[in-house]
Amino acid sequence: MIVTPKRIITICSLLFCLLLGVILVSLSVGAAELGSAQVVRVLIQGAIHPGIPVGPEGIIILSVRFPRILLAGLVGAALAVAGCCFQALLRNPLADPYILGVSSGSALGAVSAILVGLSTASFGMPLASFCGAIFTVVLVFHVGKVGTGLHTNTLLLAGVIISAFFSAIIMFLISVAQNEDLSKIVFWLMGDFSFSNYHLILIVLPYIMGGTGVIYSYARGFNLMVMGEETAVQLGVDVERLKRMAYILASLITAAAVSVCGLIGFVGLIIPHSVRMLFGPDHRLLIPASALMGASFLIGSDTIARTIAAPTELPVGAVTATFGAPFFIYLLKRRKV
Amino acid sequence: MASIDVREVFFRYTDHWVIEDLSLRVEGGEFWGVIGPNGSGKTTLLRLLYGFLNPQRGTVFIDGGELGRMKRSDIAKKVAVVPQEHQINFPFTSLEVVLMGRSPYLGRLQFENSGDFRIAEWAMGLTDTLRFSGRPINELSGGERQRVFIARALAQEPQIILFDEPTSNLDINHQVEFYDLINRLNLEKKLTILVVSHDINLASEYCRKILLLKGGRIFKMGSPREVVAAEYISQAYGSRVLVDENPLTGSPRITLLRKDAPEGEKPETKGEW
Amino acid sequence: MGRMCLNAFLLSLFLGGMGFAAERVFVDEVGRRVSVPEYPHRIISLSPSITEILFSLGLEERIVGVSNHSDFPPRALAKPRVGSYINPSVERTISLNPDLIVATAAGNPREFVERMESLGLTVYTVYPKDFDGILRSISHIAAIAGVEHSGARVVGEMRRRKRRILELTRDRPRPMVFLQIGTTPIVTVGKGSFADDLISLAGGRNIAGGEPVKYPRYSIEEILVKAPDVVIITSMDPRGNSQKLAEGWKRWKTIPAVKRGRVFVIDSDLVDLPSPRIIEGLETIAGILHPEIRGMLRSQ
Repeated sequence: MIVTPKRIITICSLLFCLLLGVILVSLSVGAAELGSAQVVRVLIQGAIHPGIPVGPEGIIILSVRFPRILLAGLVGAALAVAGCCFQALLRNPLADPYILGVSSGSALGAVSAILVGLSTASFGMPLASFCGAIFTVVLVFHVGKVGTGLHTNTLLLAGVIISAFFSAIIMFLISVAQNEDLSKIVFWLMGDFSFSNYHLILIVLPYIMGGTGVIYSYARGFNLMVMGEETAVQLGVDVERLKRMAYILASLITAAAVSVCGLIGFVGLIIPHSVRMLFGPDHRLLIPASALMGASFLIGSDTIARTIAAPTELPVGAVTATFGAPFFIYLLKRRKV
Repeated sequence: MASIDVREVFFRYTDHWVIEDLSLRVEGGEFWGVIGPNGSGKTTLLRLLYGFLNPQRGTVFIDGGELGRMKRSDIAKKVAVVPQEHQINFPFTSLEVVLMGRSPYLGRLQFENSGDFRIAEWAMGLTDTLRFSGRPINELSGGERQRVFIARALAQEPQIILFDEPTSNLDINHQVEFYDLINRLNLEKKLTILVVSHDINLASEYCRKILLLKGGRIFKMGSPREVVAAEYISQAYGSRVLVDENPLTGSPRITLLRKDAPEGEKPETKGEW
Repeated sequence: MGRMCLNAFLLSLFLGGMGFAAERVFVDEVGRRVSVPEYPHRIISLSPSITEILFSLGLEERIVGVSNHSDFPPRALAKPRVGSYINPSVERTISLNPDLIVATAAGNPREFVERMESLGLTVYTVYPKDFDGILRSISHIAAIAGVEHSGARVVGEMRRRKRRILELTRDRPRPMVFLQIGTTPIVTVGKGSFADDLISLAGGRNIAGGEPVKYPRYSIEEILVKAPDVVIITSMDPRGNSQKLAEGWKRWKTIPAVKRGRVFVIDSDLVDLPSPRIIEGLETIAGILHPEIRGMLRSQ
C-alpha cells in the first residue's frame, strides 16, 4: 500500500496505543505482587499530588518500574531505528545494528571499566562503553573508506574484522577477571535494565530522539538508496552524504542505547523486518513504526525477564534471543531467494 | 528536446585512463546505440553522462548546462537512467518503484500528490505495467521488472533516457518488445535516447546512430551502415565477423565466425534468394 | 529528584515510626554511617552467610527475607526469597518493608546498596576478609540488632576453639597444603581468601599463599614443583563425589600428598562462607593437617 501521511498517522497511532497497553501491563507486574488497580491509583495520585508519599507500592511503581520501562522503551526504539538504518545502508534486510562493530567496541569499553574499577563511579559504565563504541565506529569508518566514499562491502569487512579483534581482547580480559567482576561483566554482556533511573534516561534521551529525528527526515532518501546506489544518484540523492550520515547517526544511537543497558540483540534485526512484512518497506512508515514496535517489544521482553523467574531476574538479552532466534530462522526459510 | 555535449573528456578510476579525449555531440531527439568490447568504457561513459562520475578533464553539457555545476535533482529532471536488470531485496510494489521517479520534484519532507500519481499511472500505462501496480517488485520476472524501471524513468519526465545493457537478461521476444517500446518513445515523445548494448544487431536495427568505443576512445561514429562494417567491428572486438544485411530491413547485421571458418568468401546476397 | 528525596524521607519516617523514633548511628564495615532503629524486626539478609549469622544469633523471628541460596540452617528455607546475592531484586526487597537490610561488600552489588539507601532504606554492609573479620562481623550484626549478649556468646565460643587449635599446633611442623576449589580449570585459594587464612591458622602453609588474587588459577606443573604434603578438595557435595574428586589426583604419583594418601574432600560451606561454621572449617583442616590432635577437637 502506498504510504500517505494519513496512513502513517493511523498506523502509528495504533502502535502507540499498543505501547501504552504494554506499559500499563508492565507497571502492574513484577517481583512484588501489586494489582493493576493499585497501579492506576498510584499513577493518578502521583500525577495529581506529586509531593505526597505513596508508600512502598508507590516507590516500586514510580521509582523502580517506571524508569525501567521508560528506558527499555527508549532503547528498544533506538535499536529498531538503528536496525532500519543499517539495513538500508548495507542494502540487506538481514543486517543488525551490531554488524559494524558497535557492540564489541561498547563491550570493550564496559569490560575495561569494570576491571579498572570505574564501574562504581556514577556514570562510569555508560561513559566508558559509549567511548568504546564511538572509538570503534570511527575506526571502522576509516578502515571502510575507499577514497572519499563509503564502500559498503569494505565497511562490512572492516566491521567484522575489528569486531573479532576486540572480542579476542575481551576474552583475554575476562580470563583474568576475578569472581565479583565476572558476574558484573556477564550481566552487562547479556543486557541489564535493573539499574535504570531517571538520570540515565535524561542523558540518553537527546541522543536517541535527535538521532532518530534526523534519520527520519531522510526517509525517502533511504527508499531510493536501497534500490541501488546508482539508482539513488540518478534520482537526485546525494548518496555519499546520506551513507555517511546514516552510518554516523545509527552508530550514535546504538552506542547511546548500549551504553545504558549492555548488549541486547535481535531487536534491531527482527523489529524492522517484522514491520516491513506487516506494513511494507517504505521508510517513511518503517522508521516510526519500528521505533514504536521496538519500544513495545523490549518493554515486554524486559517485563518477562524480570517476572518469569522472580525474584531472580533473567537477562533481557536471553529473552530477546529466545524470541529472536526462532523468528530469524523462520524469516530465512521464508525468503524466496 | 535536450542535447548531450561531451567535450574532450578524460576519466580514470585509478591509474590509467578509462575514457580518453572523448568528444561527442548527441542532438536532441536522436536515438544512439553505444557498442564496444568489455573494458572499452561504455558503462563509464554512461555514468559520466548523468553525473555519477566526474571527469578529471573536460566537460559534459546536458541541454546546454554544465553537468558538474548542476544540482543532482536538476540533473534528474533532465536525465533518467534505466539500470541493468538486477535483483532488489526489498518488497516495494511496482507503483512505489515508479513513484520514486517523482523524487527529483519533491522536497525532502514532501509527500507525493495526486499529480504525481497521475504521472506514474501514465508512465505505467505506456509500458503496460499497470497490472503489476500492487505486486512487489521482487516477484516480477526480469522483463516485467525491466518495464517497471522504464516506467520509473518516464515518471521523471526526462528529456534524455540512458539505458545500461537493457536486454542482457531478457528473452528474445522481450528484447524486441523493449526496443519497439524505446523506438516509440523516441519517435512520439522526442526523447533523446542512448542505449549501451552488447547486442550489435539489435542496436544496428533500431538505433539511428552508433558509437563504437575501444580502449576508452571513439573508434567509429555514425550511422549503422557506416559503423557496423566488418573491418571496424573485427578490429574493435578483435574477432572475425561477417557483415551482411538483414534480408527484411536492410540493416547491417553481423555473424560471428569460427576460428576455422574458410577465409573471405561471401556470397552476394543483395536481393537474392 | 526532589520528589524522590521527599518520598525517601517520608518513607523512612513512615517505616522508622513503626515502633518508636529512637535510632542509633553506627559506622558499617565499609565506612558508611548507618542509622539503625532501636529494635529492627523486619530484617533482610542479602547473602547465605549473613542468614546463617542471623539465625545463630537467635534472630529467626525477626527475619522477613533472605537471599536465594540461604539453606542453612534448614529452617532458613522457609523464609521468603529476595533474589540471588549478586543480583538481588529491588522490588521484592522493598515490598517486604524491611527496617534493616544486611549486605556484604564481598558479593552484593554496590549499586544495589546505594539504590536502597537512596530510597530511604537502612542498609548495614559487612566486609569480612579473614577469620577474625568474620568474628567482628558477627559482633557488629549482633550490636545493630540489639542482641549483644548472643553475639558475645557465639563469638566467644569461636574464639575459644580457635585458641585451642593455635595452642595444639604451635610446635608442630607445618605441612605444605594445596587447597583446590575448582577442577577444570584448577582454581585454588590465595591471599585474601578465608581458606588461606584457615590454612595458616590451622598450622599449615598454603603453597598458593603468595598469590595476590583470592582465587587464582593454578597449573598442575606448579603443583608438581611445589610438592604439597596435603591436598584438600572442597566440594558442594562432599559425600557424593568425593571418590571421583580424589581419583583425579591419583595419576600425579610424585606429589607427596598423593604418595601418602593424604588427599581429602571437605564441604566447601565450611571454608568459603564467612559464617559461624567457619570454626568447623578451621577445626576440620587442623584435623587433616595434624591427625594426632584430631581427637582433641570439637567437631571431629
